[in-house]
Amino acid sequence: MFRKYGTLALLGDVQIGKTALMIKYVNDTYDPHYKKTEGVNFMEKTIELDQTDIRFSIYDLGGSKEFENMLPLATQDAISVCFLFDLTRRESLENVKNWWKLVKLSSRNSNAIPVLIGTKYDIFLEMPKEHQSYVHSRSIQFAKSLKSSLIFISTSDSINVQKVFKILISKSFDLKLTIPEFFRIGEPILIHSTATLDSVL
Amino acid sequence: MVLERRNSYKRFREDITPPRPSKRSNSPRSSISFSSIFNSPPSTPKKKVIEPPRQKLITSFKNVFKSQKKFLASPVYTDDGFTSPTLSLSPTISNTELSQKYPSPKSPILDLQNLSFVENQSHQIFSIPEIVHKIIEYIDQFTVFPQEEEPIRRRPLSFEHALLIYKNEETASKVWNEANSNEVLHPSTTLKMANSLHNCLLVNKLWSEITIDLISKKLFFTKESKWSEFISNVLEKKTLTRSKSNTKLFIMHKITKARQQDLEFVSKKISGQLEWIELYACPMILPTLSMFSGSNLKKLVLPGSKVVNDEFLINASRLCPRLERLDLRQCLQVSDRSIYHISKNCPNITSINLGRHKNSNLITDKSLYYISQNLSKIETLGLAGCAISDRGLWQIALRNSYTIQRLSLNNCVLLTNASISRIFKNGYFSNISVLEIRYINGLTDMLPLVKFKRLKYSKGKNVMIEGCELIEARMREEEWRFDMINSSTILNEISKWTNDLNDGDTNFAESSINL
Repeated sequence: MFRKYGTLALLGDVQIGKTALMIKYVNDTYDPHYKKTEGVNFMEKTIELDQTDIRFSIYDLGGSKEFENMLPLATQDAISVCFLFDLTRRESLENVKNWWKLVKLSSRNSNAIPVLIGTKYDIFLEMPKEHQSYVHSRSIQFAKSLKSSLIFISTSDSINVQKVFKILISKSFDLKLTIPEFFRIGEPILIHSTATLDSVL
Repeated sequence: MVLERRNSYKRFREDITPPRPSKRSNSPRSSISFSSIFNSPPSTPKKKVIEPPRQKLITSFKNVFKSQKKFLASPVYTDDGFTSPTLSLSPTISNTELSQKYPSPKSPILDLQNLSFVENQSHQIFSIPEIVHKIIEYIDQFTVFPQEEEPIRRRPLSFEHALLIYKNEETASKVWNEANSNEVLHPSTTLKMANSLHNCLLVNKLWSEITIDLISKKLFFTKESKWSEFISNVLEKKTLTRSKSNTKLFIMHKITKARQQDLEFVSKKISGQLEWIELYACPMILPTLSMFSGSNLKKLVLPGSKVVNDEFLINASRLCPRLERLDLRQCLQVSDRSIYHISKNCPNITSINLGRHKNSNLITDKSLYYISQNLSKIETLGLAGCAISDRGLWQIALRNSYTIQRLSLNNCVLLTNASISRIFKNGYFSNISVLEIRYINGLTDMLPLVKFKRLKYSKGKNVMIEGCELIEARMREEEWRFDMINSSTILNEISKWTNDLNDGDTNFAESSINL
């Protein structure tokens, strides 16, 4: 038996759905009631394959300003830092910039793989077309500048939740990914290769 | 009175030998408990007043204890130095007043106070035989025996070898340099307290009596001059004049010129209680059979002896049924025949070393057969340079698989993959922690060893496998191959998992129809 470890940090503004994503992934449950995260949440999930175990350790940092000083706790050993934003709120996407700066400043861990994740895709689909196309193009811009993957997820409808972690682990081991990619407006965006990212827009 | 006291002490020593204090603090404290009996007259109404302040006693005790020499040099330790506890607690009541108030009970213990020696020179407790015994026993703990240091890791054979073992140039060169400039400090110089026992001899009659008694329990010699001095002293009946021997340990370390007749003479004086006989690199002498009398022997160490032969070992093995450790390294005359008798007569043996560089064909599979049949507790087995074959090693693996912890097979050139590799492949020798396999050129299949080592490592145990350059190189190669295969299986599995679309997420291809 072999065991591989993957530590990741979930960052982003308040009320985006970081804790919900973590709980959904680890326990496969979804609770629509909002409860503010105080400080840092931590959960572990082990995925058992034939001879290998992959153990994810997930740190979820509360989105309020007051917890920013706990950021190093979440990011110090992380193989990957996930920047989350709310697809229904434009300012949460703009704030990813601030989060990215915070990570650069506080952490000595420069090898961590960035991933950009848009949440609440199910609500996003019901929003006006111009909002959808704006968020779509803006998020791709962000992903390009971060050189990261871009994924739109919905925790309540289980859209792309598992994919986030699969992309993470295959990026960290430098494995070839054959998951089909989606990049058109309205689709649940899933871009993991730089080639696709460059070809869009 | 004193005589009476000493006699009673002698009886005490014969009846119960007090257990050796295991910790530093144990010894002084337990002796203090004696003194409290001694200082406070029993059943007095004002017991609290007279009880000695323990802390004070301990500190004064320690002072004397720390500086034995100082104590000797200045015998004018008056009562001021070691203020009587009664006075320090209640200065208004003098000693005489006290004795008037509470007439001292007529016990010989308290009468000791009247001795002029005690009054003038030191605290009273230093004339109580039991306490002095404790003190000297404590010092005796620091006695260092001449012993070969057990290496944690054997020295590398070359720099390349070190590089193979440590896989890292920095550590390898460090270890290699250390191995080249190996200077072992003489053990007796490393510890300050080592010779304090001799100082104890000089204190007074009581102290020297007790010290001699303790010293004679452990006899060891590291220098030719000391040995010959000892012999002449015994001849002149200066030492070892006791009626019954209490010697438990007898070590001669690298005394190459020692003569058999001297040892024979001394052996009468020391035999009876011996538990440990060691003649380390004393090639020309043999322990006499009278030394084995008493059947207490647990450890017999005779490495490098040119005179140890089958006849001697057969006779000796009959006399030591409790033997646990037997070291016969480089005893080139020892053959299968003596192993047969030893294994029959000494069933408690846990460690046996038959390593050698010559006469390899004297120890064959027969020895291993006898060992496997009769020595069920065997843990350490040294077979370096013996003419053992695969068959013999399988014999051990089948019968002693769980007990064996250390196994040395260096230079056993007859061994091949059919034993070592197969044995580990089948899961035998699961408790082994040290395996020496230098110069077994027939060993090419290293995979079972690598697997075994990794398995133990994952359970937190580090198995040491010692090989020569060739064996180590084979090990490293196999380890590399093993790791490569492992990592490729890991990566294959992960990539299979990541690319599996059937994972619980809503499939977009289906849901897109609804959009």
